Amino acid sequence: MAQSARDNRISRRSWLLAGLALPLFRVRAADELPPPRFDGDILQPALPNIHFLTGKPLERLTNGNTVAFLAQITLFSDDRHTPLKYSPIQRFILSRDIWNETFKVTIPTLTPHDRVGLTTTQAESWCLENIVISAAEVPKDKPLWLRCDLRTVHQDDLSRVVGDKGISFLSIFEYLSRKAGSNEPQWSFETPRPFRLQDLPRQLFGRVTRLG
Amino acid sequence: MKCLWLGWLVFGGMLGAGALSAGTQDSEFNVNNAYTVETVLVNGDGWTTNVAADRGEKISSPLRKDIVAIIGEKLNPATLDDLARRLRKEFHARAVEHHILRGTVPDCVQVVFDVQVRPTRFDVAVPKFLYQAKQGWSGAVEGTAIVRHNSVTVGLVSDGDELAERYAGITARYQNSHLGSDRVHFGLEYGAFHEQWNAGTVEALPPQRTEMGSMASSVTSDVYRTRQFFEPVATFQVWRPLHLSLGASFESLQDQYPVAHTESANAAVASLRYHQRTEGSDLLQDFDAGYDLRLASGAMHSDLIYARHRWEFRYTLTHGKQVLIEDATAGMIAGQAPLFERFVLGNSSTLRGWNKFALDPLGGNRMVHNTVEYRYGAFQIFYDTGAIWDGGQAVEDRNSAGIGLRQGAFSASVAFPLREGHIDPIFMIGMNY
Repeated sequence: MAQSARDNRISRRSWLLAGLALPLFRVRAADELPPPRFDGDILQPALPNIHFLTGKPLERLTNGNTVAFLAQITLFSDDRHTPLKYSPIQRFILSRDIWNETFKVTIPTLTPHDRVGLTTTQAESWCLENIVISAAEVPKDKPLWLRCDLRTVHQDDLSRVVGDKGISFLSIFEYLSRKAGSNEPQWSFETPRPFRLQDLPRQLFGRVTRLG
Repeated sequence: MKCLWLGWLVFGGMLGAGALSAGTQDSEFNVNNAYTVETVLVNGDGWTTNVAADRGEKISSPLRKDIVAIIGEKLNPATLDDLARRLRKEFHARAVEHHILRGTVPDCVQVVFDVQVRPTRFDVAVPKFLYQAKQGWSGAVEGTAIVRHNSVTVGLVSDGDELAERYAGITARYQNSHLGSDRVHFGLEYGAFHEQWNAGTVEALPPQRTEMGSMASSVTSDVYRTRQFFEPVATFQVWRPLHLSLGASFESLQDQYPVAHTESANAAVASLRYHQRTEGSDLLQDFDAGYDLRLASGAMHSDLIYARHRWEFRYTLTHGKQVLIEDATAGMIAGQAPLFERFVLGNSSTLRGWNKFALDPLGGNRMVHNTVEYRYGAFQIFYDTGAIWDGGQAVEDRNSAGIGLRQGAFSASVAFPLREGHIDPIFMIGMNY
């Protein structure tokens, strides 16, 4: 009987493994996307109307600060097992006009592109429109999967780690905890079914830069 | 040589980290940069100050001056980041965030800094670490808990740089920063160390006497295996730039020759400190002066009877990125002081480039030293000169020079002894040394 009770108990090792595995479940499963748009040269994911100007980033913008968003597209082949191509990391810098309550979005390329006087929805849409990947050298007849990741860039302040009393372990702990991204929203989307470039209808879509 | 490259790599990383945290390039795209700063407010724990209007003592004068300087200028978020960082450091805050609000007239804005105090008052820190090519590694780690005006610190230390001995062990410290008044502080410090001695130091001691209790040397103690001390000190602010400290130090040394026995070095301690800062339009000047006295006598049941005097003077002139430092120290010991009380030159802060064991493996009971240092941004260049000797001996002055990089508390430098013949540079890297 005693042996049976012991068998039914959850062992310390199981608790430990469960504890270690717990953070893995914080990674949110990617939302599903329809096949991307294709103009014969560039692929643009058909991103839903997500509202990323909310929460902490919006609070920072409302306080007059600059917030940067990073986006990256990955093309996979072989049933999503093999990354075939990554887009360069695309950066969008947003700020909010204190007096006019409108947004400015800048894409800091060699010749920065920007839009000013945008509403929240317009600012979000303009960012999403410019998340693209070049289809050059991508086989047209191969089944592909597309994944798009979008996240904010936290302005990490390493100087907090070194204070007047030397290197503070508490600050290092706070710094590394924040690096885990608990307060920084991130979004991930992917196409659930494969698509082939040769099957996609050619269509024109607006963008300011040809990235990737 | 490997350590040299590793050191520069680490320091390069630190510089990079410093540069990263020095501001964000994104701020140049901020749409609010077109607006003019009208006022700046700083919010603390239950208080708010208008920096331009209030001349209180909440914010130090140089920082207040830099904050006031942004009023009337176009908004620059990178500057705000820098000021927030300095406020955080000054208030020991967990974070300082800045908000931009509409001003009272169009196209003007109000900047508000929110100082967020630490919710927790416990921290573990590395207050110092150092690698010196001749002495190896030194470092300390300590945990501090703060309750109101009281702080308790417990730490571990291993230091082969400061004294003639390498001491390693534990330290514990209690401090009260408000003993009835902000003008009176009280502290208790305890330390228990195990000592390691350089072969040169042991060889330099006179031959042992056989009779227990007699001293190996007429000027210092024998080498000891362990050392413990207990030091209560009260500090009084006599007037604003002048502080007087009075207390006692009880040291217990366990000697190993000719047989294990204990010696005591109990001393009354006193120190007088003067610090004055003056600001001109572009210049910032700091004067620091101090005198320390440690008086060990039979009245305190001390086996070693001595008087140790130490004087120091430091002048710092800051003009923009340029800093000029003049630092002079002198010391004299009368009587028979233990080895840890003897003066040492040729470490990471004095006569850099010289090996302290080559200069005087036992340390000396007379010492004079002077440093002139010039810094431009992260770059530093210094010239040290000094002499260490025992009373009655001939005095020989030595000189050294060096260059280095400094970013905040971090520093890396190479120093050269100025002498004829073979010159062996000494590399140092570390923090708060």
